[in-house]
Amino acid sequence: MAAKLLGFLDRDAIVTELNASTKEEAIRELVKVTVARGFVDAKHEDDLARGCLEREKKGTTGLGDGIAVPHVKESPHVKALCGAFGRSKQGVPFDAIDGKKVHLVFLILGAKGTAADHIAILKKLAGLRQNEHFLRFLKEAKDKDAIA
Amino acid sequence: MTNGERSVTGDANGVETVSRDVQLINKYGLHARPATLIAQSAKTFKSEVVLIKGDEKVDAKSIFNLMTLAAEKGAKLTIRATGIDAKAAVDKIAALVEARFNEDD
Repeated sequence: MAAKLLGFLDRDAIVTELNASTKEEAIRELVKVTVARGFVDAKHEDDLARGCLEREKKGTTGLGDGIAVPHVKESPHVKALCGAFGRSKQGVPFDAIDGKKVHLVFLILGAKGTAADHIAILKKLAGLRQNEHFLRFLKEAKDKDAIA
Repeated sequence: MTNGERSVTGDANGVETVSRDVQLINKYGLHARPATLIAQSAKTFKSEVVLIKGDEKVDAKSIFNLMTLAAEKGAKLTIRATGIDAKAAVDKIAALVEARFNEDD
């Protein structure tokens, strides 16, 4: 059962307004959240941000419709599959496939042995991207309380 | 299980698990407002409350989690609560669903 598929995105994993104005800043800002939550040691913060950026070079995770899902799979530096979600009102340039800026960023960091769950989450997000209610809800929710 | 049927299991400490199947009958399904109402209601109970749709199970106290179900009109959901006030929690949320979340249309 895909129980709590996106359950890792709890209150502490939400950044209601990203400071970032570039793809790299957005990724770094969200990786920092996973460090603060104890899923990643601070000494690996930079490695993981670089890992996400390397992955972006192979093909953008800007899926279109303002959503991006930067990620690193099966990392030995991640203690458990985790993630963070950030919003940007102004939008972040992300080389998205539709050329639009990204307003909703879901960072996913996978630990060793979590590839299947990781892929299930990516699939789920790709599906939700087409759900108008879901997108509008995330964009319009006022604060953490309205999301989490 | 047919619509509205309820199953209950319990232990000696008053902790029980109560499940009930419901169908979304409001016009737009589980969009932001209904999800918010469910989460607010679920949070008033001590029990753990989950909503199940197919093979997905989410925390009913999290609006975000509820939204990820992307449940539309006609969707069949199971409300399941475990705790000392499980029955009350399930009844309350089932009542919200059955009242179409008090939407006008």
